[in-house]
Amino acid sequence: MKPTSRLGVFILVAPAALIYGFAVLLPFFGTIGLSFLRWDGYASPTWAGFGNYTRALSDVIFRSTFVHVGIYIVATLIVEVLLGLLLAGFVSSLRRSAFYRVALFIPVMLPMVVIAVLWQAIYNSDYGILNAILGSIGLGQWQHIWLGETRTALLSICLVSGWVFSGFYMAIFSAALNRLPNDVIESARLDGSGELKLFTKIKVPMIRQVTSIAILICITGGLQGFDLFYVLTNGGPYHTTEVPTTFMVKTVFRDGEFGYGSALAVIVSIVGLLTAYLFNTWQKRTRIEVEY
Amino acid sequence: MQFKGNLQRTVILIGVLLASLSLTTACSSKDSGADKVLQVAYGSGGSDAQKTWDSIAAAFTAENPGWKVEFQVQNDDLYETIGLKNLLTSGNPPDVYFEWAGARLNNKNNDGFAADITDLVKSTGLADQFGNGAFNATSIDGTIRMVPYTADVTNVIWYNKDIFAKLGITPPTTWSEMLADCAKIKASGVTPFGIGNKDLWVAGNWFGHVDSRVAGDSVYDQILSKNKPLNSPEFVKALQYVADLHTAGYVNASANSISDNEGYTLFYQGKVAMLPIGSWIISNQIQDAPKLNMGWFNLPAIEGGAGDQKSIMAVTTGFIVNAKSKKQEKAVEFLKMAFSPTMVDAWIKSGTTPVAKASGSGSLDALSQSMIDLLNSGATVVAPPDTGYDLKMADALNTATSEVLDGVKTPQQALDDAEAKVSKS
Repeated sequence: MKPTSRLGVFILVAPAALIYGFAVLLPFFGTIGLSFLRWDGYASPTWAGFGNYTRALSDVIFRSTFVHVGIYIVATLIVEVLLGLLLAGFVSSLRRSAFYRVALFIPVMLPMVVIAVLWQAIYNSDYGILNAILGSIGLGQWQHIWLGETRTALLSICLVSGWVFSGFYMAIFSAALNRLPNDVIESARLDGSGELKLFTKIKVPMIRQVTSIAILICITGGLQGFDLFYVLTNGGPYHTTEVPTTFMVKTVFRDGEFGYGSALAVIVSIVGLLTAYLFNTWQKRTRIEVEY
Repeated sequence: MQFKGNLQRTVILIGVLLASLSLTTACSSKDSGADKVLQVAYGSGGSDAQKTWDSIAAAFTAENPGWKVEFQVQNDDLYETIGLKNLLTSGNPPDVYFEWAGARLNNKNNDGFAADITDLVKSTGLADQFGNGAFNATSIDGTIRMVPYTADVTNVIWYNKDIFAKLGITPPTTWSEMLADCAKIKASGVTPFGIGNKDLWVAGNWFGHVDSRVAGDSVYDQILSKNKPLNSPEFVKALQYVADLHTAGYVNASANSISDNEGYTLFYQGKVAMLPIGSWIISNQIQDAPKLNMGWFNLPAIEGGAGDQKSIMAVTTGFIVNAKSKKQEKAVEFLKMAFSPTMVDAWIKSGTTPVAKASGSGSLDALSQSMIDLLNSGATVVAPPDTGYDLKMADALNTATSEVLDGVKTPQQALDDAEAKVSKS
């Protein structure tokens, strides 16, 4: 059934369009507009031109946030995506895997702030369980102020992220692995392929597209990372775990610099879009058609 | 043409819905536009404080028939950062709102959100409910812009009396004595000082006080008011005291990685002997560690320092009447009721230490009373960096302090970087 008048089309589309306009388009263009102003939230805004952008590009802390988030993304590609893939391989090779699937997926269902508070207690250098275990097994020299040392703070956050999201990627990869046609797997087995070879040479290449999507989710999700950083270190010590989102929040909500914060948001959005575009372009160029 | 029929019905339905919505909106705006509703905004102070607010609102409504009080209550941190800004610029701004005296009050005044209530405070008799000089911190150019609510000591040094007694030490009166005490405490296997400085303001308050004692409160004020650079020699000298504490290992190594609450836990568990923090620890200790035998001493005099060596670090809070409000007279009447002697008694019972005079029937615990006595001692009051001055200045200084506290930068390096950061913004 098709609508018979243009008015009907507009009326049917209007609710969704209005919601999209207010929730996405208005803030989007509003942020771009604000980024060219100086505004503290009260007084009349003044025109800043590209001042906020030139300031952002020369801001040492803001520039360093991209280094930190870059390290975080690389680390999470290993402890989330790669570990998730290995877990999926392990779980899918088991006859009764339901328990492991649920157990590994549980962290994904917990609120991130709860997870952060939990790990804050684990990492606490004075009475946390991690240092206590290390001390009790004779590894006292490995004890650290995990969230307070520049060498360990970012790594500690990455590990928590891996603990949470490896289960998420495991679920994605498990679903993909379960869809693989049995005849291919059985043929490989008949040809004498062991489980390890079967996994690395047959299964993983066959879920290449899913892996690409997982990597893209990990990269874009990493750029948006906020809650773990905010609760565990709040960017500290001395901005060594500062990421674009925590820096933006401080700029706007603590310092009250709406214009500058908006310029930061625009830059981060551009970087995110550019990263996704480059990744997709690279994907298209290197695509090998082994899809099943 | 079934679709057309459905479409017509849909259009009619949407029309009816829109009409209903407009009617509802019109009615609700008429209600709020009746101008007999007083909007009062503040950050949540807990359930006991809210009970006091509710009783004030009930009393106000009883005395002013037809009038109603609505509270715009937000989470403390949210209120301090973006919450109040949003409320003031919203379509339903508060007539009365909570603020901190100092730079924040000045900003509100400069932005046109603080009414001159000098005449109203005097004519309504509200001024008589306060002691002499109570409005000094809340006046600008001789005009009253805020009604004082509480005065909080933001930094004294709390100590574990049992640990001190066991080691045979008494609260120090000079910095040298304090260092000698620290040496004894450390030798006993206990860390002398414990703080949770993840959010920077804890060490910022403590060492801000040290900065003011070394540089003198006048130079301290000049530097934080941007009239002198942050890397002035006086502050470099002051941060050397922080560096010395770090070198001696007198502050918990985890300071910059744990929250203020985790710092309190170290103190409650006896893992550290001293906790430099404000008066709010009293109610926290009563709830979380009631058996702890706790005392306090003010920051000891620093030999070779400048200015008043008995100075107190404290902050005054209060309520501002919105300059854009058309109900300023009623707002002051409301504040008169909120700080009447009877209500002050209720505030005291809820764990607050108001500036206004009590009727005498309100009773404070000994530690809370000692904080009020300290405030009334006549010593110079120094404002903390974070609530007394520009937040960006405070953040730059507090970051420098945390870097020196961890030994990652020298005082000169840390303050040079802080000055560069402030001058760029």
